[in-house]
Amino acid sequence: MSIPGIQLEPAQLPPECELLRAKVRAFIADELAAGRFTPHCDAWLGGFDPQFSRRLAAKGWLGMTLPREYGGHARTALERYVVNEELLAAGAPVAAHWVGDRQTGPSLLRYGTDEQKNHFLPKLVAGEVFFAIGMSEPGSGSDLASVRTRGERVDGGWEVTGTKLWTSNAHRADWFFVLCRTEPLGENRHAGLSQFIIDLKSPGINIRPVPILTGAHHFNEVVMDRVFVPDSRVLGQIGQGWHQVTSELAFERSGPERFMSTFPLLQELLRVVGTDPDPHTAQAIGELAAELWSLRRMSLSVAAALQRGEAPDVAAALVKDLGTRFESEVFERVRLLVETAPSLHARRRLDQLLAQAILHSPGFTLRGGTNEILRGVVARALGLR
Amino acid sequence: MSDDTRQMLLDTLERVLADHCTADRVQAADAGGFDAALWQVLEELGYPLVAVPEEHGGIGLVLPDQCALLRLAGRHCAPAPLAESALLANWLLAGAGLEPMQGVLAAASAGEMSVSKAASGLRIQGMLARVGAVRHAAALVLLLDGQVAVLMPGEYTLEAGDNLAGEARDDVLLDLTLTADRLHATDVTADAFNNRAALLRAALMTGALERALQQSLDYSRERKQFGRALAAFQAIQQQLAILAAEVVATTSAVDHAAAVAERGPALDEIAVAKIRAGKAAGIACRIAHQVHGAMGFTQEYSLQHATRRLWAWRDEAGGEALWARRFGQRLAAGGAHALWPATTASGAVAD
Repeated sequence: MSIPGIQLEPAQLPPECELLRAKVRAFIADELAAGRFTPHCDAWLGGFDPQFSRRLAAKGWLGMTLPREYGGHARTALERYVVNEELLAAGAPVAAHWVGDRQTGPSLLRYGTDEQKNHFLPKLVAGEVFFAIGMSEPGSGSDLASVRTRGERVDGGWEVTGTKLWTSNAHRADWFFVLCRTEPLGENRHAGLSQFIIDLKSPGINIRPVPILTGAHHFNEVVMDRVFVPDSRVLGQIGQGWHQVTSELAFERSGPERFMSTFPLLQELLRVVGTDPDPHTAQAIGELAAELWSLRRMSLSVAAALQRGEAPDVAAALVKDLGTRFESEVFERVRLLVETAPSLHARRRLDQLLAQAILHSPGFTLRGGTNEILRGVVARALGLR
Repeated sequence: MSDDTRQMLLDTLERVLADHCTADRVQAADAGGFDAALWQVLEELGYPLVAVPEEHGGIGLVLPDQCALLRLAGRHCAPAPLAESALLANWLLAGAGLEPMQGVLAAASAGEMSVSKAASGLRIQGMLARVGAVRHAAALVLLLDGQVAVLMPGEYTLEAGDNLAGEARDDVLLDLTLTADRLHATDVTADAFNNRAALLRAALMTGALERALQQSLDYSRERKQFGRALAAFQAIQQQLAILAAEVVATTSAVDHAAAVAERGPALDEIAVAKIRAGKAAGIACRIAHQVHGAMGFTQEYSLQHATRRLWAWRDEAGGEALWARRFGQRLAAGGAHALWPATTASGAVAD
């Protein structure tokens, strides 16, 4: 049988990917040996380290798929995949550039003006500017089309007023991409939305921290009061914002970060139980690893489909549903296999990683589309709605 | 093997199975899981030869295509031992340089049986547990340590058994001496046989999973409650999306394992495929039956042909627990630092 958009072709990484992988591993080994980072769970949200991002940039591992004319490296999506999965497996602090590298770069390339591309992309590739994404609002989570932030036409540009919520790293990023309403809500609620590129240092912006369960400051509430955005910082077409943000969903939803957020904990479990664990523990390791391996195959298949220019949105949604549930399954299993006392301040690494995983876990199945929304996407493809 | 031939084999099998595997026919073959008329058609079309290399007079399908055939067999709940007869027994014969045989064949690895040297050959005593298709077989192809022997029905006795789907799984009692001329050297090891059997079983499961999904989708659109089709309820949509994800995950794992196994050793990949298929079976059967309500809980309704097979097959050729324990032991033995490299090495090709 064929399920529209869900058929995943087996993907094969080309040999050059393995050479690249070896280079990334050597880099990570150097970084660890020099004590320049400590592995964390969910470090693609929490590990904001501009210096680390710039060292990656120096290796050519930011904006990898962008064309050379904008400073990019014209590498394939699969090569980028390999770099990212290595960094995630290492629990490396990649949060500073993650969103920009994943979403902002491709968005700019697709919808940006020549001036915007020339202005932003070389800086993104160099790790000189970092980006945040302003989508959700206090009243708009899963129902993104209900955003109330509005842009009013003024001389030479737009004035944006409204509040964005859950904006990761807005307090440390330079620019953020804001979805807002530029026409009153009408019959078609997906019409009349637009995207602006807003300087986070603009007058009229007020950023308030929203600590997560660990107490850490990653999320923010960004209040915009008549923030001026020149015409040159409109992204794409006025009124086409919905199409623009949803066309990038497969990029956002299918990456290795959707099943590897707790990988450092799984690896630490193996260290703690040693090379000859009891049969019960060995079985649990085998079950978790089987899920990890099968998720990776699916995720690679989606990446290969993207590389071929397809739009595997449904497959990406399906893989993200499975992958994010696996991220939580890891810590639920680990805590039953060994005696633990999870704490962010524990001396034992396993307890620390466990605490990070547990306290970050509510986000796994919410961010980038809740699992219920994702299943709705799959159900639509199955012809059920 | 041209792409046209390959596609023709798949299309023809799909057509034959659609014709023959009606709910009534599958139900009629429930005790034993064998439909002689269907088998005759499959034989006439040459399907027993698909895994035999072309130089041995066979068709020489690659493993991913062999798995694709089994996926169709699983989807139609075909009461025909394609896996046992065509893909294991004839494959064993070809590996020992023997001609493929006609008729239903069973295949087994001697495993833990007592094998000792006697003056006139090899003395074999013991029991082969739960061998598929042997009840209907014209011969049993037995893999011993580095050797293959063909046993005829008069040379063994059967103790009848079945699985949850009613398929024959008889114990085979052996007590005979095989003379040297009946032993044929092979490179196939017991591990290779067991791994292949597990991959083939997982491939059958992908088809049965697809069937359970398709029937659940169809039923959810037809069945109306509270004035609406079941499909219109979000609670049902969410469950069916989870079921679809299990199907896709298993198919992806099996496809990968088959591709790697075609190139070389694939112990870990087959472990992942069998573990994933077993996990999916439990989830898929639960959801499919829940969506079907009491209707699916009857013998008259054909959902059970897929779900009983899934419940049966997940424990055959090694259940998830066995495969996961061994897989976990291998990963742990490599040390924590080797977990990620082992993960990325799966299916990787070097320059």
